[in-house]
Amino acid sequence: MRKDREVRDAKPAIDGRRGFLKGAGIAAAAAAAVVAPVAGEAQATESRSDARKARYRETDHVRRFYATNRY
Amino acid sequence: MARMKFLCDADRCIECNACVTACKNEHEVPWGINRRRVVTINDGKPGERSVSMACMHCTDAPCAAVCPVDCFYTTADGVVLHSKDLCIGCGYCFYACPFGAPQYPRVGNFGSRGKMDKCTYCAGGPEADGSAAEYAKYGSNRLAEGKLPLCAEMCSTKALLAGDGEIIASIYRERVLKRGYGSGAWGWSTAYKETVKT
Amino acid sequence: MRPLSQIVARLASAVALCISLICVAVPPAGAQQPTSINPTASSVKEEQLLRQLNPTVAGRITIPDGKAAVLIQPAGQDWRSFHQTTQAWIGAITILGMGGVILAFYFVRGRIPIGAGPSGKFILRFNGFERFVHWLTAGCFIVLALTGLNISFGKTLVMPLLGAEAFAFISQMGKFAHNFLAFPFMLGLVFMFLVWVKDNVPNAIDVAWFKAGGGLIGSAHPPAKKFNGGQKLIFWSVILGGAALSVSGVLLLFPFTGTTIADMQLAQMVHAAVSLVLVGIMIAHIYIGSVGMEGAFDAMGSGQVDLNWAKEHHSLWAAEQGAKGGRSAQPAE
Repeated sequence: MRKDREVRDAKPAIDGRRGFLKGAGIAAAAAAAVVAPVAGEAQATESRSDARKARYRETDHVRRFYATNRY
Repeated sequence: MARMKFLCDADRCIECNACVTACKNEHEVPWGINRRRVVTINDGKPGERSVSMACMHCTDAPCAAVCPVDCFYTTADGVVLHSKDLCIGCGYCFYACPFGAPQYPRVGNFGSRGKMDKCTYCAGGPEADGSAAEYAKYGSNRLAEGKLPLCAEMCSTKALLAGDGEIIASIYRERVLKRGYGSGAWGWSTAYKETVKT
Repeated sequence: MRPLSQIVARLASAVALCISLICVAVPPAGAQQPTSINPTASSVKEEQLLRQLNPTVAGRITIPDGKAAVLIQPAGQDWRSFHQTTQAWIGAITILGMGGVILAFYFVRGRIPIGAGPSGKFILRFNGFERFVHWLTAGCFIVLALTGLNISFGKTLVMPLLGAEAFAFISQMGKFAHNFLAFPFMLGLVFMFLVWVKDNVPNAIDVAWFKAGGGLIGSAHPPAKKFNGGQKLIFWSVILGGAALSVSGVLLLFPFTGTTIADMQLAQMVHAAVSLVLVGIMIAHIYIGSVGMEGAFDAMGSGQVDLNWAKEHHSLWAAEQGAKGGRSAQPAE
């Protein structure tokens, strides 16, 4: 008697878990669709000379850092 | 052209390890890897000093010289970066590095090394600036955002300086002049073949 | 007994004295600190630490990674110069030098023939297990040597041809191959030692063999047993060199397990130097076992060598085998 009940109770739980897998498949496909155009518009890796370019700029933020460190 | 450097004012460092924590949090550095650490020398003795150390972004970087796949490159800012796509985790850079900066996740066979990870001076890697791929591999790219490394920016005692080498050296010189003492710019003679004259 | 009031009065005066002393000791607020006091007088100096006999700057850390306690290790610069310069010179001398010697030898001496010509009769020199052990070790060694050379010199020699990405990929594969094939190589070394050590004990015959130029210089064939002096030299360089490579290699394979940064650097230097010398020796071994001498390859190929070859190069061994009779003079298949 108890066993039957357990089986009945378990059924929707399994469905719930596998339903998540179905959802995940759709989500993955959707994610791929979303990612693809993004990867297309911006180069994934910079060219060798681009990677070496200077990034430091003396912005207000940086100047404030220097100023507070002078105390 | 500004040349990025780190300078740790050991007379100010109180070994709070906030730089270590900030770095780990900012870049979501994985378990077991510390891009920055604080070493206390002569601990418990008179005159002990703590120094916060990460990659010093050396001039003529030893890691780049010994790398068998040439994965390192120095940017125009003087920041030494590397490509995790090329790195094979051989460990040579750690043998050559004077500061113990390169770190390796333990993902290889026989407990050997995965792709090397080190301080990027908060300047990411060869992926596009600020991209998700760059963040996943190297962490955030603050330098491209017009900011400086977070470890230095949030240092509670303003011990750790980052930025243009000439400016931070002058800041340090002013401090030494004002207070009358200074234990020197740790690591500079090794990394940049120069010291801060005070 | 003194009256209580007297004691109380004394205590009160003592307390008052203490308070006044403290007040004197504490300088009034706003007073200038004496400039003669230097708080860094006793502080550690980087310069001092770097001027030590064995300069390292190390201390205490609060993270579990013990090797992070070393703040500055100038020894890394020495290792760099070994890796960039010394290692390249060792490689150039052993490999190019040995290549040059062999080329010169080939032009002077040519292929060493079987003096009496092939007899057509064969005797068993190496059985199946001996050949398996040889080729197990040899096969592993060749892959290990090529991947090792690739990691040492590939950046200069191979990367310009392939480009960074392709070169990094083959180097990554090479690292895996190097790590995994280390184990069958070490197994082969152990077997090789067990199978052949009894025939490789140096003795007076070897001295005579070397004095006679080993048959390499001049056309005389000094007598030899199963292994001649030259082969014993190869055997012991493989066993001892292989042992050095195994020990240093295992240390490198399990980085920082019971080793410090200095140990790791030493292990790499031993590994690189010994392997480059061994590669040089093996080039000579491969040459004389294949192109350099008629009939030599059969010993490790089919295991059956020509009777005349055996009589010339291993006269004592051939006589021994002949005395044993039976399977010694087997006809070719």
